[in-house]
Amino acid sequence: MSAYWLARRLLTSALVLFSAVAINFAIPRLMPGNPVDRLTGGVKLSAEARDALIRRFGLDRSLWEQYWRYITHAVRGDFGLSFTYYPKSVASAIMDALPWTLLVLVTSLVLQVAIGYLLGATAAWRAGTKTDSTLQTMSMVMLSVPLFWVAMVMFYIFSFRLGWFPFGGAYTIGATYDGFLDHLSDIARHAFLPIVSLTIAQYATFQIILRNTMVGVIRKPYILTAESKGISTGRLKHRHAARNALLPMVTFLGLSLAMIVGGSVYIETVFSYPGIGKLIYDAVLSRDYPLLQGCFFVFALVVVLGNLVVDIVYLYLDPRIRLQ
Amino acid sequence: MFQRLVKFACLMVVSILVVSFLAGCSDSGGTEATTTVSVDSGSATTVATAPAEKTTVRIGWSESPQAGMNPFLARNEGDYMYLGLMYEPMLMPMRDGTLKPWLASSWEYNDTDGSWTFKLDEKATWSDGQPVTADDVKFTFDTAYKYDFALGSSTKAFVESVDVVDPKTVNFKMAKPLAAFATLAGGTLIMPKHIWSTVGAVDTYENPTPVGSGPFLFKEYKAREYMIATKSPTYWHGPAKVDEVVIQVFSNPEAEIMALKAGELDIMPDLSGSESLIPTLLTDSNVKVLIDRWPHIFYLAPNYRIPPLDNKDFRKAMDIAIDKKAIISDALAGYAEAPLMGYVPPVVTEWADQSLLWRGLDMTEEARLAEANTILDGLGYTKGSDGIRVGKDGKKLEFTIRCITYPSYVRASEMIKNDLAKIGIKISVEVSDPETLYGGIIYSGERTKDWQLLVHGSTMNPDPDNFAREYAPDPPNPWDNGPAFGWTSPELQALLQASRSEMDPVKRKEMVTEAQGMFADELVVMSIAHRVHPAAHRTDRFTGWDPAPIYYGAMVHPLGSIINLTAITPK
Repeated sequence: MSAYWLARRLLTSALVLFSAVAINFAIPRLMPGNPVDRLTGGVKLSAEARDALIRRFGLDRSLWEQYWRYITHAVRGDFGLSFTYYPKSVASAIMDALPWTLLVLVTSLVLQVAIGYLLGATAAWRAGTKTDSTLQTMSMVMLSVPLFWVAMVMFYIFSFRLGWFPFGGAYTIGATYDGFLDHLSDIARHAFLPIVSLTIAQYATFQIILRNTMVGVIRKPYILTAESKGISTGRLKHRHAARNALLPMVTFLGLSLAMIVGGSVYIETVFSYPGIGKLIYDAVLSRDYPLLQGCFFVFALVVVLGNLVVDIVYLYLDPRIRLQ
Repeated sequence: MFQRLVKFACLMVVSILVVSFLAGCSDSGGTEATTTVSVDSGSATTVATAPAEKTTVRIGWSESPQAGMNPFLARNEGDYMYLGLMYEPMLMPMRDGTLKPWLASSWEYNDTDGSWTFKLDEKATWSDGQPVTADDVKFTFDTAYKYDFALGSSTKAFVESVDVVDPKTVNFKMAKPLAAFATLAGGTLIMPKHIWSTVGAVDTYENPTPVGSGPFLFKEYKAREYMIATKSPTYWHGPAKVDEVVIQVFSNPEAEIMALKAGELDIMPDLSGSESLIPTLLTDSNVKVLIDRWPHIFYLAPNYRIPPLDNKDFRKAMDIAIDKKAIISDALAGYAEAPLMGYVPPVVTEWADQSLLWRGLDMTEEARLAEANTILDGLGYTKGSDGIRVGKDGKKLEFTIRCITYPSYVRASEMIKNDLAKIGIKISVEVSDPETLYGGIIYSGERTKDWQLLVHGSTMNPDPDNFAREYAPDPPNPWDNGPAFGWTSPELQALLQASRSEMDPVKRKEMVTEAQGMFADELVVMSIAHRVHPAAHRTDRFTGWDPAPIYYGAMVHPLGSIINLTAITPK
């Protein structure tokens, strides 16, 4: 991986991000309705009070003025003040929410990839057998089931019926902890169902992609050669077959980042988990333009950075690309 | 190497999950400083032992306050739910239209100079021990008016000055008379001058350590998650019998209801919109559902810019054809009262004309439909071969009802569609989210002809000043109902405007009664029902839950009101 390649890649990513920042201004404003009624809280105000609210949130300025102000502040990481949580800044609102979403998404993503890999490799290795058809059927079922339904069922069974997990939040309100591990366990307990729900609902695509690619790889002559050389089954399966079938799965990983991030909206709504997905949902309903702009930027950042990481992983996976 | 990474990541994640699963199944994971009865962790039958003996009331709510902890920014019921624990008004407006003394022990109107004087209770103190004084009241109103906060929006145009007479007496000199002044100004939260005068820009101050006069003290607040308040041992009305109040935000009502049933919440003050979930609560012996009468009106509003909706007889035909009893029992799940057609809801006994009950209640469906058809025949609308009536201009009677996404609104709209089809009016239903429909169309002042019929609900201040402002605003505002609906009626609007400044209570009542009669006769809107407000609470931990008949500024959740939270007692 040359420094030139990396620099070029970083520059491209920066340009994409800047474009996203520019486009993010327009997206919330394309929605019908306006934030003023939400700002008034549904209360019928006098004209002066309504105008004061509009001025306070900068909505009296022309669109160009608002755009210029937004761009010049956004490049400094300042997305202004949230309408919904005024006078809290957008950055502050996002930083409060982002760690919880990252906890759930990153953990779930690792699990999705791991489970998808293990089940996909198993299904491919046993292609045509009952194991393969069972795993494929399972994955088809999971692909068909909506994410929010999985979340609701998990919630109903494990929180309500069994009482094993809490009903919402990221931690126990007002709790006092006996040390770091106690605190960690409380956070883990609240994150468990969101993580598992998201994983169950979204691992299947990874499994299917790997399985289908690996079935083709297994038929290659070099696999037969490796087998005839006496290489163990496990090594053959993972080091030779699956390894060479990973590229499409990694490609999908990059493409799925946006989808996975979008899934956080459902998960956080069902579990009342205070992450960025729920923040976006509330911001859309409120027409909270600054908050939407900030959240969309974060999403764009996650997707751009995620794809950058995927590109770098590619280089390690396929030496041919490295040479190119 | 990739594989090793995968394996390592799997191991880490699985370890975390196993630990959290085991934690979930055990009693560990932080100790809630709650009451002795808790089902926070472990099986539902596990009773966690808490080291503290304090009692905590846990309230479920759907959002955190838009105002944050800054009461100057308060503008909706959610804000008052939270802030009302710590801040208080001079008077408590009650739902029946009367006023209860609170920070102010008395108030009077001066016939001679038209001013209002409020005397503050000698006992009223802030949580830091300072007395509540007239300076605090003056500061609150002066600040609200200076910044044009929602807090002062309803009274600013009428007040010339706020003056301190003595430390416990404040006088409002009026620029013009306002009959509802005691209700509107009296219901305003009062802030301590000695705190707020030092903060600089009031509108951007987050108020991290609120100082109020209320029964609870601020402890902790996390936007979008919860607020914790502890009882004030020195509260001037006497300390509450519960130690702590936690308001927890839930993103969906189903989760909130399950939390209530499982014992993780003590009260859900607002089940409106979730009436279909109430049957699951009724099966639980530890949960009681309270039905609270509400100053609410649910109605079908016509756009007067679209003929023949501006024709009174046409509206009469539509109104009598609608099966309102069925809508109440089906779409509103029985949680509503039969409509008074004069707009003022029946619970506002001080003002409502109870004789204006919808006359269709005592009629059979056949009789109602026959009357509707007769009216439409008389107006010259003949039924076509497809059953849809056609006017003399050849135009079919086809309209669209718009409503927001609430299931009860959608269901009611569909039922109205079916009812009107029986008299030859074709209706289609279009559903939108509130911001799109209200902010983008109905109250935008721009797309005035982009809607025809609207199924809508409003909660009104029990003082009929609200009624007058909605339908006879001066100056007209596109976000008030009258202008938004394109309705004008010089005589009725003049009467409503005059009632706002009529200081003789007897005369004012006569005017408001007459206005209701005219409103009903004109069928300005077709009232369908007055929704009642269901709420649910557990019965196994606290006693003394009663719906306090309070209407408190813009706060309409009596079960979360400070009157109730200071009255309940741990079992």
